[in-house]
Amino acid sequence: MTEPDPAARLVAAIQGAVAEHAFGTAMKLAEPINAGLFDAAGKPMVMTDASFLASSAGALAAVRQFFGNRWRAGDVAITNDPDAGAANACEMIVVAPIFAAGTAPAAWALARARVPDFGGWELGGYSPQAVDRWAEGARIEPAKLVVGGAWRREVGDMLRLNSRTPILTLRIATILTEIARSIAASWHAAEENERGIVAAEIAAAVASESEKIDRAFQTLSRSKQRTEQPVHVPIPSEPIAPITVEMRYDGARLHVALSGPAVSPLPINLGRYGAPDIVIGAVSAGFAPRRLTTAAILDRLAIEVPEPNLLAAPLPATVGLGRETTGQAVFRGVLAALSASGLHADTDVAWQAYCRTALGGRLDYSTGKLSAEMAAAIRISEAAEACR
Amino acid sequence: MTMTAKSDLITAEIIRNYFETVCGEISKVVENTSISPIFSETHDYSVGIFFADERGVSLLARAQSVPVHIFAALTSVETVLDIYKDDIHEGDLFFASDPYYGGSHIPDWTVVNPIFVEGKPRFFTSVRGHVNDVGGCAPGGYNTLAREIWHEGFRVPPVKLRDRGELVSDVWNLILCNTRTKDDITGDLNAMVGGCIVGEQRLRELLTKYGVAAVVRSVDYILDYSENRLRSEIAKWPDGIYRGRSILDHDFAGGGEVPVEATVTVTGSSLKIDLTGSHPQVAGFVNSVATNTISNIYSSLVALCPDIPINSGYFRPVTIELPENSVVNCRPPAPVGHSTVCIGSDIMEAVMKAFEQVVPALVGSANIDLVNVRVFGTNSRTGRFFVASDMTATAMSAGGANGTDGWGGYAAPFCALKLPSLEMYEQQYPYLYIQVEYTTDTAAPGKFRGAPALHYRRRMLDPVRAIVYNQGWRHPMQGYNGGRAGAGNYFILNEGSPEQLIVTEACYDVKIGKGNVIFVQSGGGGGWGDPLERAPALVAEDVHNGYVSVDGARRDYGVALDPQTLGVDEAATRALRASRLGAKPVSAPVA
Repeated sequence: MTEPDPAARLVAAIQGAVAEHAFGTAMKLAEPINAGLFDAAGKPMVMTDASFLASSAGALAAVRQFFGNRWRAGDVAITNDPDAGAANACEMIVVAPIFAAGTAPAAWALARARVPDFGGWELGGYSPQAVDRWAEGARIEPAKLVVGGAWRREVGDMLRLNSRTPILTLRIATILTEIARSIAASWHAAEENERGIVAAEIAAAVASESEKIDRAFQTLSRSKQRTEQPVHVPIPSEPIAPITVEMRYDGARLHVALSGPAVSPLPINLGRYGAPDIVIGAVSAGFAPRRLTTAAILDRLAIEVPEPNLLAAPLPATVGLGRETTGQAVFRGVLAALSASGLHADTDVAWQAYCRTALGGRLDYSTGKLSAEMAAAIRISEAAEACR
Repeated sequence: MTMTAKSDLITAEIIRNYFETVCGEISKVVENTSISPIFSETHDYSVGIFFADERGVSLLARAQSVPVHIFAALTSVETVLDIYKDDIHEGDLFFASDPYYGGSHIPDWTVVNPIFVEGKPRFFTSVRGHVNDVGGCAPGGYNTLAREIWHEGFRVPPVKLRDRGELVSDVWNLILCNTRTKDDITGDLNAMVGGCIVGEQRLRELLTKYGVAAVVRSVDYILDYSENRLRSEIAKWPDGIYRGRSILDHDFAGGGEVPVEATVTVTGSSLKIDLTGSHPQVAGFVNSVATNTISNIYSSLVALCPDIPINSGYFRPVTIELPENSVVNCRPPAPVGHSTVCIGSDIMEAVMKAFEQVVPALVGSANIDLVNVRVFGTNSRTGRFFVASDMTATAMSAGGANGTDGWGGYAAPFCALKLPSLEMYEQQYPYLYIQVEYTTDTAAPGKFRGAPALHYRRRMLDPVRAIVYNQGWRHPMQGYNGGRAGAGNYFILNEGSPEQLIVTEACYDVKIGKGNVIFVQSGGGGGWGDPLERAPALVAEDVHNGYVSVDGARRDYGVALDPQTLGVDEAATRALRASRLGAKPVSAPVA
């Protein structure tokens, strides 16, 4: 009998947690919804989509740094900070510690999704006219939404007041919290009878996925590839210099060095973890028959992103359209470099798939704002929720 | 020992003065420990002591501060009590800023410190201050393009900054990370908290010295005294219905003029102030929540009887009615960012115009002027982002009053606001002041004239971006009892350069090149009384000082001067004034 894929059970458990809670109109609007499990040190173990691993690890690190050892069972923290892993103000990331016997967390659960609105100029988080990060929406640096299992009215009220869609926003926050709790419950269920089973399964899953990645990478040429990609901007502006992708496989790791122009005054910059996420997403799209779900890819990639520039722009730079504009250039540049290295993929198809699974496909590229269809869906959903 | 009634009164008066002294000390703590010039230089913050019992929350005393702050802070205390109810504990410290949760506009932050007496939160020290930035779409908090509250900044409902003595670090950080100048505003928030704590120490010393019972009895006296004093004044006023009107030039959203209508009804020793008829809620950021409107109405009232101690007792004789969904009582998500000044000043002016018919000797410009500019950019000397207002541009709002000319500063209810030190501005921001001075023939004529308009030129030493918001170009501050209106306000950005832009309403995010100049005319308050009744010697003195020209003296005051000696030609003046008086139309009788 063939052993089941060791990744399957854990990822299935997390996906099950997502599926259990992520239904209904609110969560349809919140897609993509991703969740993952991290070890006690904050190192990623598994995630429903590995292309969010880098930023999720960054978010967890920022949250842990802010609260230090001030954690207890039942806590749930929240952030939407692009310097800490969110793509823009409308991405909500929740983090929950998982406690076992000790006083320190034994693992961490993380869940993330889009929220329809967090203020700023425009509904939906795309504000082409924003002059800086604050103009793109409310900044939620780490705060605890739940303490010891009890909802914090103050933080919930701040989320509610700073959103044009308070009902949907709070609902999504609640559901992400439930997903994180379910992941914690899955972890506890796995650990109940056999201590260390989660770590063992993760190790096996990583090994399995590493093998697949290595097999794919072996087909790559060892020569250095260099591609340039234009950044298409849906806002009248001076021409933007292209971004550059340099790629080389050394037999062990794929080195990807990105460079680009200076931080832009337009909201097309990427946040601190935006570029690594997109590189992972593009590499995955280049060869993986299905989404990667473990941290194996992180050990097989060496990503260099100079900072600050368009590809990694800290506060106060605007980032609202970053993934859809500069991110797209990175995605296409990586695929072009992979193609030059011998791994061919249909770039347009891959990008469209990435948009659907990782971005949600909300931006109207002709206006730089949320698409009219999505805006209408959000307004109708909020009104419908208000009537319930 | 039981105190006699007389000694009780003396104790109460001592305690009343103590409360006001404590407010003054709190104010000084904030001034001396804050960072941003809007606090440390301009004093755009206010201080109050409040008391809560089964009858509700009362303002007991305030520092000589911005009245629209501290009257509104009363509703912040009420909102904290309403939301937290039994979840208020010793060591708690509260914060609120949302206009729809007892605030006025988002940049006005309020810290509320409950002081427990016999197990209950009875006294509160509070500081409400206007911070320099609250995130949102426009640096500096004044978004001329705002069409909804989410365009204006980070909204904070009542929250705990401190819970049983322990800092609530994530909430504290959430508030501050939503400002563009976190370091500076952290200092300002600490100053507000520090002031409240110093005030608490002083109140505890008071309670220890006199005992709780005596202090609480004194509270009753203090409130009753102000009520009785105002009632006795109102009782002297003629019963009747009086109407006043003020008009805002525009709503910043292409909506045209925005009138505020005030109807004051005097009945015995009571007043009713009704703003029915005021313009419906508008698209731009001049809408006012009820709290802010009531604060501005109160601010007008306290200008009428300045020798009565200001506390909640003062307002007991007054009932207020505000039309729903109007510019003076808006509903969310209407933007309200400019409402504290701009519809606020019009509310004050409309009320004052109504009182002009009741107590003409007591009225005058009580509102402030409606002109300001925010600039933001990077200061090349520090490498840091900055956002700065310039309160000098706003200040020339004093109009004439019975017995005094308008002075070069804020109108009476705002006189705690200080003209900032230009040298300090130049130290902190890339500014170089070229001109800040009065201008000839711009003072609103009157028996007691308004302050002359200020002309103000500032060179920018670094490239910046500017947001300008202006009112009073078409409807400058009004005069009273025959006094004329002020000169009105306008801006010139990039003056003298190819990018020169004249602004009479507003502009958003305009680039000001390095070395370019911003010009402002701040038009001054209205005059009081007929200019033809102004003493010719005073007109001659104005001419000598350059406030009025020789031609202006003749034209506006009917005073003939020798152009060489600037001496008054008495005979010519008599003749001139006689001809003018003869030509004057008869005023319509007051309704």
